[in-house]
Amino acid sequence: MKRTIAFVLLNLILLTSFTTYAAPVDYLGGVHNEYEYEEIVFITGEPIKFIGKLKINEKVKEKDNLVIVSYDFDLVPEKGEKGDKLQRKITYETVYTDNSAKGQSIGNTTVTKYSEKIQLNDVDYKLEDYQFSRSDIYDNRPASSYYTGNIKGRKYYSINKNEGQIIVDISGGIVGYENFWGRTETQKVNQTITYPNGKQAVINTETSDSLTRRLVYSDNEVNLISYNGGYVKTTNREVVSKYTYKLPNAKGTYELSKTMNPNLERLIVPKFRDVDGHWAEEYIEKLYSLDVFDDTTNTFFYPEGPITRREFVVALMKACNIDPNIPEQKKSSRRKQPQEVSPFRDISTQDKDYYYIKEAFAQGIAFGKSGNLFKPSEKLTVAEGVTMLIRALGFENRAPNPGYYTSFMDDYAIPYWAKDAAYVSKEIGLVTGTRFNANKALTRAEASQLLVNFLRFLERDLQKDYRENIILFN
Amino acid sequence: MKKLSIILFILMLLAVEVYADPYGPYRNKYIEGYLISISKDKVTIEEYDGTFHSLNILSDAILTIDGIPVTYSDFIPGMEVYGTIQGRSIKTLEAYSTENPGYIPPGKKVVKGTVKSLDFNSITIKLPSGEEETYTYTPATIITRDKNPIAIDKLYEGDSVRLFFDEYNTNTISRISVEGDSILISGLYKGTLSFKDSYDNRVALENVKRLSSFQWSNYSDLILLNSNEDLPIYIGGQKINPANLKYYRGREVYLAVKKVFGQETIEKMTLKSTRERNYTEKISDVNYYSDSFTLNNKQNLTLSDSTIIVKNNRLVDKYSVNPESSAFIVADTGLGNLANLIYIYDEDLNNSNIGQSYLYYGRLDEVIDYMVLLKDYYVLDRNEWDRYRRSTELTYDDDTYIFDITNKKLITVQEFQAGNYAVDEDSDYADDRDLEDWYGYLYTSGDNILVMGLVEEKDDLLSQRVTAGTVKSTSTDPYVGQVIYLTDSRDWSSRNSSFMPKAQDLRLMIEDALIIKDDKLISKDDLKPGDRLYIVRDDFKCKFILVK
Repeated sequence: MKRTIAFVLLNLILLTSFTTYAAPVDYLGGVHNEYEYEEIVFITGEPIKFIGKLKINEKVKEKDNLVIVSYDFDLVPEKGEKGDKLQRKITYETVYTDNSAKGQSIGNTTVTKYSEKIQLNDVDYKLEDYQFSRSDIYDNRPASSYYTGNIKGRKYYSINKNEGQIIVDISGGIVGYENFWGRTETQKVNQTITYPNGKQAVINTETSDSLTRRLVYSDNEVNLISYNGGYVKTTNREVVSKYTYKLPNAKGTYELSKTMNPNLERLIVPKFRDVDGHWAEEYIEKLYSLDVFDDTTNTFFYPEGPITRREFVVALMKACNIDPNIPEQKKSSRRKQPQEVSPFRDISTQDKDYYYIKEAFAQGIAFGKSGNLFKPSEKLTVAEGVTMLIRALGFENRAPNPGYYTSFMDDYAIPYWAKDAAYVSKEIGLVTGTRFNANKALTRAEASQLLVNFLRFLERDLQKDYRENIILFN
Repeated sequence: MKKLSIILFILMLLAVEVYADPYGPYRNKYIEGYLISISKDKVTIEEYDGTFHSLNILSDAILTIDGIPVTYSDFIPGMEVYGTIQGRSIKTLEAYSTENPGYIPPGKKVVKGTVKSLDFNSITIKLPSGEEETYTYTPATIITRDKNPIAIDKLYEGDSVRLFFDEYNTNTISRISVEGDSILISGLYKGTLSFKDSYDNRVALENVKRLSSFQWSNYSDLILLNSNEDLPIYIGGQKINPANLKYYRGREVYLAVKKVFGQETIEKMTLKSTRERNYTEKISDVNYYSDSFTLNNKQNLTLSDSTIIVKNNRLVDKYSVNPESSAFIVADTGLGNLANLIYIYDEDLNNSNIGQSYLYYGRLDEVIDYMVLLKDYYVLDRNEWDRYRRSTELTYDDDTYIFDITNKKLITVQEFQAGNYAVDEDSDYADDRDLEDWYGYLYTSGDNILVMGLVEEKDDLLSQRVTAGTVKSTSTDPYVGQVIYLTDSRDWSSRNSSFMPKAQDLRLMIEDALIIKDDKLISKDDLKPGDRLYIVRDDFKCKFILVK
């Protein structure tokens, strides 16, 4: 029972973050930072930029798998007359249904409270009714979750109480992902506005809220210091939007953008003696800063030595911040707990990396070798390393139906279990070149490069696909 | 009879038993047939001959379906299976399920890159890895830019594209999505490096000058520009370690900037190494192997990865620097005279060598159903009117835009056909009404007229010239109507076979111009600052404007 509750809690935290962080506010193309909010309003038949304050309030009701998000806007037009303003309060409720067997969740969102008043040039526009429905499907993979959603809504505004009605139809789609290294949600929304005179306007908005974490090198300004420069984990968040509008008497585009102040986190500094000047120095030091390698020695990294299966799995789990799910030791309940059974015969439950390897197995990243053996000390091959990364992304299914050949010249040498991963790794640019070298043992330096490229994929490549490719290309 | 039947039945059973060979799989070490049931450690298989075998599954057995590793629960009774046997246990078990091997959903394979070159059925792309790949396109390939369909010849070198494929191993593109205006270089700057903030990826420049009308003009005392962490920074052709950029404070830098999400973002940055020289010249020779080129004035310069090369407002690579190109060049002195910036200002009616757009001018000799006979006509070729003393047939259709420039009205195909735009000048009908053939500017794709502008009086083409430039602003003059101000303007010179840059902004009247964008007629009000124009003008009056 406790496990179930913990799972639901974990899921809720994960799901809550979808709405809390890196998700555009409302569905009207507005952008914001910590200080202010901007939105283009078309209700008068002309584009008018409003600027002002935004308050976001969120509640999580774990019992009901419910997340309540309330927005409170208090805006004035950028170039307006005295008394012109926009006040809007909207509450959305999202209920999550979890299908843990399939690793998927569904979120259904409705509007529960709304009020909006716009005063412009002595004309009052009041929101009389707001119908809204949004539904999202989340696919939760080990290193990243992906989601897509659909929205449909309709707003009715009255003009000066009884001088006519404006109808705003909203429809669109949402794509997003979330992992430790980045989160992005991009909305593509079409608004159709019907004015009292029967004329219509179409406004297409593409809005993206994107957060990335990256490692920025910080050099030391002084010489007499016990370490070289180190890395700073920098969290950047940016909200951008693009409006393309065709109004009864005007057409054009607007682009808005707001950035949050970056959040900095200093990381431990490596002091290896055999890494400086090595081609993989940057990769090794980045990973060491993230504490993904064991501290067996702080002096020598041995970059040209082979990396073992154990080291790679643990590094991958730590680098992606995948929770190893270590149970809390409670004296009172220890007796009642069933005895832990390792999925692998050669990894005992007392092994220092047991929970990482167990979790990697549970999440489908590493299945071990034959006969329930993990063979932790065996050298990791290219095929094994790449397969683990692609499984962590949940991208195995992006390969064609079985019965295909990869474009690698040594396709014949790729083991059957690594074929999908080899194909996908080439498609997403994780592996380049004409040969895959499936059975080659990876050196610690090569493994570091592979892992850093993988993190970069989680941070930058996903962001480009979910933001730039949608907004800039269409 | 009954006895005979029993004997026959027993014989039949024996025959089956002999044919079935229940020990075959253990002798041959493999088994083939239909899966009857499977659990974690046991499987029952019906051989093709009808024999049933129950076998243990080894703990380290390899189970696959279509070559993909699976667990026992993925097998479905009835599947055809092939297993290898060790002793009396299954060592490997394979099944087959896929009906369409190698299938991907249409458009699932995506390649992103930059257009390097275009051919009549292929396109060469530079991939993010630096490799180049050539793909083929067909008339069925869909091409869009900014949600609008475009023809392949509207692509430029340097365009950023996403190619979609319907099959995993095909080379034929099913769809091309082209990056919109965010690909355009919105400004070329020169300034003193103040600092780079690595945490929010911004670069501060002081004493900033902007390249405008082929000269550096003061722009701002200080600007902050967005950057990205991967932005390579060069000096003297060498890449600088970003961590060392702080030591270059106070140095001059050259920047190419794009507008991304409404923010000016640095696309390429190179530092001034020595002292600067500017050239506005035609390139006479290029040697790609030695990365060097020579200007018409015999000045030798070199290229490197650090050189910012801009053509058609897009960043391009060195292979776009061709002999005969005209360019504004900023180079270091010494160090091989390295070019830091090459702004190629050539312009043509077509965007690439596969372009099929033509501009005709001529007398409308005859107008019949969907065909115009043009007599004594001219074709704009390499920015000059070439005269042809004969007739040519051009087709039009119901989608052709026909604009009566003299009367300033858009007319229908029916009005065009019924009107007196082409008459028999020797007829009594024409004589009585004093009618003469009209003249037209016909913008075509091949022989098909896309847009037609009709004028009653013949224009003097000898006094016309081609001008290219970028709209700086538009306004309405009470005396002459709508006018535009062009920056970066240049006129084509026949004598020099080159565009000749103008140092000042150019003011032109567009009131009677035929204005075309994306093969459609647009209104003069649709022109906006930043639009790149290709103009045929008679002094102050624009006759034909193509928005590039």
